[in-house]
Amino acid sequence: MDKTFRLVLIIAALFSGACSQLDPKFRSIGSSVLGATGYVTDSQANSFFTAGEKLGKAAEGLTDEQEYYLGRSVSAVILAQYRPLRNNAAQLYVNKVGKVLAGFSDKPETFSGYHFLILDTDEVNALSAPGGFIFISKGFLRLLPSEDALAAVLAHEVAHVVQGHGVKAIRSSNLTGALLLIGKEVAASQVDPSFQELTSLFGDSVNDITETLITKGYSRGQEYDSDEYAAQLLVRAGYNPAALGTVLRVLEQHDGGDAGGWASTHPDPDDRLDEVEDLIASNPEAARMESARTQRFQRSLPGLTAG
Amino acid sequence: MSLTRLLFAVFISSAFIFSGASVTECAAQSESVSIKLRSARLRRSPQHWAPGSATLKLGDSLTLLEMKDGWAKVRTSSGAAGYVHETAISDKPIVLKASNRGSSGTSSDDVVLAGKGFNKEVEREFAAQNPNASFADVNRMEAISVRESDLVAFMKAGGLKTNG
Repeated sequence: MDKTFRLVLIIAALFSGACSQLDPKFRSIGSSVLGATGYVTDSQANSFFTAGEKLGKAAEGLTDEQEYYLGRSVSAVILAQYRPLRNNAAQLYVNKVGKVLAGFSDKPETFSGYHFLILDTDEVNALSAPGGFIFISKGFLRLLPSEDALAAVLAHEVAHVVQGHGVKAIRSSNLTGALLLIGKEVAASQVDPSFQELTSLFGDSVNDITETLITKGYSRGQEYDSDEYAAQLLVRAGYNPAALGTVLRVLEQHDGGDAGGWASTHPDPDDRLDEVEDLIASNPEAARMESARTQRFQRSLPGLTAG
Repeated sequence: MSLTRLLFAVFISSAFIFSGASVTECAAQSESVSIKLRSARLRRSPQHWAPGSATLKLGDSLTLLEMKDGWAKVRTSSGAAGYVHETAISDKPIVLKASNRGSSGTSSDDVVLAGKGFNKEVEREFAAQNPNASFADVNRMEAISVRESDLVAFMKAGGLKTNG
């Protein structure tokens, strides 16, 4: 069998594994056709299907519930470093803005819903963990002039969750190792080596994510993707997408790209502005109610904003 | 490779590729789906803030009636019909498992075992090894809740859209 033909057959078999509930009828036909042609044996055909099924399962990755537990632990590590702001009214307001945006996203539901928290730090930062745990610092709020600007920051973080960037920050060796163990029945026991290994891989995965969130940052491509998605989310929800430009200009003026937090983990605001320029033209309809939103922003976050 | 063999290979590839790579199509074949989130609202219309008629729980089995624009029209075991977002459902049955302890023999390739893998017990072990990690604050963060009616009022008052 020539190499090109063999490759086409293998690709066909691999694609067949993308659907875990592939109709057995198709499997049977595919197997017998491949086998009956004489181009491959029945056992070769079956092994292609097995490879396809494995690929399909690996692509399924972590369940929403497993992402949730990862997100909880990443959040617990973040909250060991930063304390929550003790202001229930402010926390409730930020949750309202964030939940509106999440509801307009392509992943409006996560295992336990989206949750937002103001961190009591002067650092200018915003972070998101898998499962929908999203943080914004008091220092960042102080730079923002309006609810629409706050929405732009939160929309960027929701975009990271929707696009699965947190889970993608896990080293492939840790994720693959964890998925293999998750595929087994592991007893939750301190004497079970598999459980200890699973816990160790969980800890390593949490470290991979927190290191990316706090120190390394996502790739420039992921940040630009999240800006683009944020602009779309703002439009969908009825916020003025021009607010994303406002946020990036405020950041540019504030830190000039060199002040830790968002500045150290994100591309230069000027470059980000260039990337989204076409998407953030002011929307007259959204701008019409912007002043009313700005008023409640100032009322809800007294002494905490630039507005 | 001859032209005949090439055409045959393309035909075979197409048959497999179009045979069901999307979860949605897979779900439609089985006509049965499960809730994969801790809870989800059964909506009266396919919109995120549409009024709800029931609260569905993790593992609840539903009959899939129709998929359209990211929303699944479903019927519950008690006969109630409504809509859930496609991100709330799995095309595999979900078996609830109270604890990760021991082997139940239910780990089939065709089911998802809730509570398996990264779960409460793994978190507890992680917390024991990382005493500075503040799970109490995470619990407080999760406890901040907004009533859906309050959220809709918030959206209307701010001139935002309400048809997510």
